[in-house]
Amino acid sequence: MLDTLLIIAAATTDATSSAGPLSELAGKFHVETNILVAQIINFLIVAFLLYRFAFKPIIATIDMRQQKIADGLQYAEEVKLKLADVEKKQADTLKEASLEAQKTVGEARSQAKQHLESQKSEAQAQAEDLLKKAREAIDLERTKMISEAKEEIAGLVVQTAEKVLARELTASEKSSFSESAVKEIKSNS
Amino acid sequence: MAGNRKQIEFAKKLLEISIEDGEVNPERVTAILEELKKNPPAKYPKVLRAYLKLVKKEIKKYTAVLEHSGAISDKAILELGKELFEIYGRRIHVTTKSSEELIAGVRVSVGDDVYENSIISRMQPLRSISL
Repeated sequence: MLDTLLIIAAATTDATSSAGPLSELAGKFHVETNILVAQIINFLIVAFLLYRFAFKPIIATIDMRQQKIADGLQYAEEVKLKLADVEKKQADTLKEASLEAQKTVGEARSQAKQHLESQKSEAQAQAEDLLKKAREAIDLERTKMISEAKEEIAGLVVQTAEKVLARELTASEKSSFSESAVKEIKSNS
Repeated sequence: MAGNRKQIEFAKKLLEISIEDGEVNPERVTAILEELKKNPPAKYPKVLRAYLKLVKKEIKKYTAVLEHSGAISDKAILELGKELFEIYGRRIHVTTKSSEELIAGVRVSVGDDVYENSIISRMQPLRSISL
């Protein structure tokens, strides 16, 4: 490569010496062709070295970092998407759970209402049964009391009649009744 | 208990001896009692009690107790005796007993049979009549 540069510099020198106006202009500005070529070569060497050992690793590092960042961003995007998906799933689950809970609550309310109605009707039936039994007991007791009262009254009436008869019947009436009673026994037997 | 049965059987035999013409003969009863006194059998008091019970029961069979309230004529008593003879097929002695609880009427008891026609018996059904 150095050989190539020296050949180019020699050719340039030759060209300068041969070309009139350009050489004159270069002379006015005090540009020396050899130094210029050497500086260009130096510059190229430095540029190459800088590119090779400084910029390239830095660019590689930057690329790598950019790649990492891009990967991170992609990952973040994926995470974001996943998060959104999870959030959506959560929302769906919550919605589903809410619906399920509402359904369960509705069923529980319905069951509670049914149970309450059942209890109410059962209690009403029991109350009616108790009432019926109480009425029957009262009727029975009343009938019994009336029957007892009737018996007692009949007993008192008979007792009174017996006392009155015992007091009012004369001895001859008793005798007459007894005589006829004997005859009746005879006829009945 | 087995002992009692023997005394009852013995008393029954004594009762059979005591009966003459379908009635308990007092003379025979007296003779039996004297004999028992002389020769007392085993468990003498039990025999006597059983004999007394049987004699009473036998006398009751041909004895009618006529309970009455108010005077009753001899004729009515006689007619009752005749009626009872027809019913039971044997002579029935009628004894009278005043019973004012009847108010008026009669009650005739022969053994376990009772015939009643009195004010009190007529009033009895009224007690069970429902008003």
